[in-house]
Amino acid sequence: MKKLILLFIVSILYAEDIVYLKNGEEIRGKVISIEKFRVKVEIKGKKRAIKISDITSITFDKIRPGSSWNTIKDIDDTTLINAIKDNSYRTISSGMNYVDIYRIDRVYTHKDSIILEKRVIRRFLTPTGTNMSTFLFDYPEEASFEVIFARTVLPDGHVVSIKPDAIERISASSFPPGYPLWKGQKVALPGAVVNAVMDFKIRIAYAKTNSLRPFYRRFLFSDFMPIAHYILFVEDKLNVFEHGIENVVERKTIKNYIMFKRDKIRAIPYESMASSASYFSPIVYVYSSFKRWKDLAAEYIKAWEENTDFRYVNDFKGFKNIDSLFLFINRTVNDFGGSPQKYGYVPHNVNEVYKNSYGSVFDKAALFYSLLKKRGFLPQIYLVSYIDERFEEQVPVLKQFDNVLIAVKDRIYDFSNRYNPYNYYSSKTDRLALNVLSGDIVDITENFSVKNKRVQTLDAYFREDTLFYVDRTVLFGAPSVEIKALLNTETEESFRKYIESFVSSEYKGSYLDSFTIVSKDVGIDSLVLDLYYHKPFSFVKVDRYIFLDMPIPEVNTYIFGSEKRYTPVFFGEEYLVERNIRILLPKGVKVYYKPQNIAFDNKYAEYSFQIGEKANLLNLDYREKGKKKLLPQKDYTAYRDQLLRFASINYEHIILKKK
Amino acid sequence: MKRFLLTILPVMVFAYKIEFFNGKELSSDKLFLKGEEFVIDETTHVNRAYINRIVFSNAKLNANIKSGKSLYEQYDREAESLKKQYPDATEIIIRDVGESVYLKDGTRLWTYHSVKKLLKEDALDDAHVSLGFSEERSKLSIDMARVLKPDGRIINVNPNDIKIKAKYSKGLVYFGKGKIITFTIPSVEVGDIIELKYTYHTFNPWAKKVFTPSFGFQSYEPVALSRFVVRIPLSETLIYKIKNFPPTWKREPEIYKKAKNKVYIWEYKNIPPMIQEDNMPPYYDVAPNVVASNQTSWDYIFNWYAAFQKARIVVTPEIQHIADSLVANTTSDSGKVAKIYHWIQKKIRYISIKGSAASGVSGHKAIETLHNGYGDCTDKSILFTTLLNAVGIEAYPVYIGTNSEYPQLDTEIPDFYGNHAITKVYILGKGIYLDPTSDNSRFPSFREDDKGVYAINAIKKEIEFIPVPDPKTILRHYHYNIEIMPNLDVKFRSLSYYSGEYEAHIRSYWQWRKKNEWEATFQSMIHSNWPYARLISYKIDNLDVLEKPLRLHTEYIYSKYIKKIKDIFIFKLPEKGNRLSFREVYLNKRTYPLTYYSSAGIEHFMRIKLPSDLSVESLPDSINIKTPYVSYYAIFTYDKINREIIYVDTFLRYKRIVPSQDYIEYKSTVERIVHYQKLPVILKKRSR
Repeated sequence: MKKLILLFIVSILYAEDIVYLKNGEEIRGKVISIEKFRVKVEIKGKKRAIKISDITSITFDKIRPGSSWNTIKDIDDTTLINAIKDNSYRTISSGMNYVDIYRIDRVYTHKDSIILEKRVIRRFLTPTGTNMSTFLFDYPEEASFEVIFARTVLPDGHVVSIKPDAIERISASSFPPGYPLWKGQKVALPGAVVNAVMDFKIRIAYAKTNSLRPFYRRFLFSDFMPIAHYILFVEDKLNVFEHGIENVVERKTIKNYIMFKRDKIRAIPYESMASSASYFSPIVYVYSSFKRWKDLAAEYIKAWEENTDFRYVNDFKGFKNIDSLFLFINRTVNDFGGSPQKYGYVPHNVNEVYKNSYGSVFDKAALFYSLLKKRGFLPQIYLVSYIDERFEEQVPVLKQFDNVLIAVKDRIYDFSNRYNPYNYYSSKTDRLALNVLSGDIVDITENFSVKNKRVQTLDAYFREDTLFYVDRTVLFGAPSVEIKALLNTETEESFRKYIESFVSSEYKGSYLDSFTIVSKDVGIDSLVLDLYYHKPFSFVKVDRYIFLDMPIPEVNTYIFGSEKRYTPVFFGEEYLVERNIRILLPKGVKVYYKPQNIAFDNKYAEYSFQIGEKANLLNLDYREKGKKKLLPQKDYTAYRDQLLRFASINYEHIILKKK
Repeated sequence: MKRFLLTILPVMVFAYKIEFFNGKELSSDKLFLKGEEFVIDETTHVNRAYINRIVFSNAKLNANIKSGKSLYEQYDREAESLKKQYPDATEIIIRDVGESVYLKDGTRLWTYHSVKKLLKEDALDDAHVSLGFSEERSKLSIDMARVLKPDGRIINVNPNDIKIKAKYSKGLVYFGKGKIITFTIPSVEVGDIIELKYTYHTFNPWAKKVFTPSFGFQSYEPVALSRFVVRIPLSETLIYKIKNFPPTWKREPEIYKKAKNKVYIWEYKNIPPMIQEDNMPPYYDVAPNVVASNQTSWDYIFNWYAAFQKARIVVTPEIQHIADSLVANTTSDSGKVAKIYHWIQKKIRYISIKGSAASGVSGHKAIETLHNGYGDCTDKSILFTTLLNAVGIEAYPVYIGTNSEYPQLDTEIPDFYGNHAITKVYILGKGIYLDPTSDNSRFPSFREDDKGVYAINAIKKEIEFIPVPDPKTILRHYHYNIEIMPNLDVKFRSLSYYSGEYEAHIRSYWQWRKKNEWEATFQSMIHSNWPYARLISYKIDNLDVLEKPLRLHTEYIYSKYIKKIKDIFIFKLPEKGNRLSFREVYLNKRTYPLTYYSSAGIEHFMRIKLPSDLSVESLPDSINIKTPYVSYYAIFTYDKINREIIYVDTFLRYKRIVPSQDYIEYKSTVERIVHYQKLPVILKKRSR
């Protein structure tokens, strides 16, 4: 390990301006002048002049690191050597693929920028662990990035530094012009072998001048791999919100920094249906700009209003009601996809959006909003987040949101899918939303309900050993949107293939004969589907007995196999499934055995199965209702016991016997 | 078709758009930068630190209206019959025209022209265009990108709205130099026609002497007219082959001479859409297509590849030292190959850095890959070959097209073929294939998607077919000792081990899992088969010892598993049904073949000990199925003396591909196998 002192710390990539030429070439260097017909660029000390007519654009780097950078001392090589030598991390790294000996993050201000520095010192413990030697860092277009150093200390003490061709600059966007972009850099470290130690430090400089696109990062004090020492320094000028760190994370003030420190962080196991770590991990939120939602909302609505003075109102005279207006905009303005966290929250000028016929979800919503205002309505704008991440009510940052909803009177409109009906919003929407006009965080479910429901009525009869089903399925909300989208995008033949696949997986081993879409109006939030399918070998004969397959949905017991749980179970969206099945029994047989009714109902879910017999009809009722997005660890065991007991119905039998 | 710039009327609006870091924007027709200060419109002075981007706008091109009604109507007429024939199509492709030109200097042009009538909202996505190019090899020009409106307006894309981006890389593939041009054609609505034409000039091809044009004539939407044109100098020879052509299509192209060129034209009309199916072969293996080459033999391509390879397969003293140390104390050639094969999989990570031709097909020098500790398939294959050569074993890198992603090679049309490199190794004169790209392939196993494809061995100037293995050599073995307890709980002791590549998947899965997740994973596995399951113990043998077979042992109890119903006791043999479920045969019939990665074999052995008070009422009959595609044999026997039921079965799938004409029979065969898994054993109280 003594060779470590020979390490050289080199800044591999300095920030630079980029001149984009029409022929696709990129010229990197410092732009030193722009004149009438040419631009001069200094590239590695040499000057080059480029004709203006050859240029499409120039991007300027914001940050040029220099000696005046405000840094506090990072760990030095002696500390690093001692940390590797003392092996104290062994207590948490047994059975792991790698361990982070140190992770040090620092956030501070520098002039009008916010700087994030990250240093990771990682030891690879298995060949699988060596794959964790590549990284992708992404950041907004206006930020700049540099690798301060990146090196691998081999087990024999030799040091291998990164090669420039193993750093890739990415601008990962094909969005239309004018939209903010994100960039990224991907880094592959050489020499990653078992017992090697990887050590790298990067720096990202964020512009903080745009209050609607501020600095925002969450720092999680737990991970799926062990961390021996995790230290976060945050300059005290910045807004900080802490969640769940009491008694877990050490917190103290050093000069003008707050230091958060946690040692010997054990790895969280990966679990099925695990929630995002934001639901269970200690977190420190760091952000710039506003401290109150009201201030953020006031600034945001100003930007929104600037872009929503719509001039082509007459083009929409023919639309008599709001619902048809919504359907028209939602279906005909071409959404280019992507998340607002990457492309931004401020809508573009609605006149341009209308003229171009393309835009983001926010642009579509803004166009709708502007038309409603011109018609004298007072529409509400709700910014909403999706349930896959925990929404933090105390952190007023736009980046927490994933979508925008427009509400007028008692109806609500969601532009996140081209085939959304009116008066509907996606069932993955979280309960808490920002009402932009009032600046309040509100519970959106108080006025508008989520729809996510499937109701099925099945009649079944036997022919030989095949069970034939006539199935009427009524879908409400999210499932109906999914099918309608396919109906609109697929040809009849490919849609049929989709339904064949659906039938086969939903009704294990069944084959579609035909189907009818009874109603497919995109505007309404339901869809009626008649399916005709059959299941060959639907029963097995053994001696005098006929064993029927249980025709109910299979309860997934894999997820609840584990006796204890380290993370909450993430159920996701609330939903309801109801299935009523009537089976006409063949002549000459009687029911020899049928399972007992079983049910449970708690605050997270409701399951029930009932079976009845009348003349030659077997009647089965199945009901499943998901009520919550999360099952916390503390209630896991009780819930598991109830669910597993119920799941035994999957393995039950209906046995018929010849009379 | 006139060039784009001739068909529009430029309107000068401003020369520069200045974007600030705070999100503000300014437009100006005068802009200067001197030192650290920008001067905008001669009046505004701004420090450069505030400016994020300047967009140069020599000619701001607004939506330009020109009478195009007759053009719209002409295209619309061409789409009409297909619209009637396919009323639910998302769009009609009116023109699908590609032209490949081989220029005298060895550079080449590729021009593509498409015209589409948009019939559904989802077709609007076609307005977003994204085209890749490699700046060191090709130039890309957008000749035309416009929308034709039914009222005759023609709206062109604004050249200033065309962006050039770095290629987006995913996973462990890096693109050092590729670029993408992206733009969105504005004002596109359902009912419009969009027209796109672009040209690539490949000024620096891999090999100027090799020209291998190809074209597919079918799309996922109906096509009114598809045309492929190839132009080559008169001095050149073009060999070509048509594939998957419907019987009614003209087999020969129109050929004529023009100027100093020979021109070949294949043109077809009213082509139905391709309806995709799961597990179907790659597009070019089923769609009508033409492949062509100016090479009448493989020699030039062999030599080109071989020159790169030979220069990189260099045994240096360091490589010799490593190779010697790896095979120390190993005498047999197969032992040596196994040692090196396992070492390279574990020590050299898979990362592909696509920066230049050096890493495109030819790979880095063996010593460079060794020092980096990572490389792509070619790099790993070259290093593997070099290490083997160092210990006197003959080996070669070979190029293949993986069976799930790449079309099958036509050996009569020489081409730069493949998306993957593996290694051919000779042991005692017999050639075998190995793939060092994997993490966990135990010698002599290698990746399943490498099988049933052609391999190009450039150094030996050979093209050889890699066969699909005999399924008996790649069996998955599941052995159970089962004891039915007096209280009707059932105790299982199970052992799983594998002879083929399936082991690599299982090994990777458990290596990826951390040790503190193992118990929960085993618990989940047993609970997915029975809710009242209790894990007693588990053990994984040889997980990190690639030289030895992986073996999984589990011991668990299923409480209340035997169902007592009146006077009978029902026992269903667990778990085997999950392995023989054949979910892929859900379609009633198929248009395209059903494909798998490779052949397959599964074997069960179950010994079931009965309690003293139960005896067998009935056992399922044995089953014996044999078809050209699969065989399945299963039998239950009851040993009254030892009070044991013995169950054995063997499933073998011999082929990788089931043609569509044999699908229905194949489906019906595997359904019988599925049905067999449901048959219960019925027990009864033993009469005293």
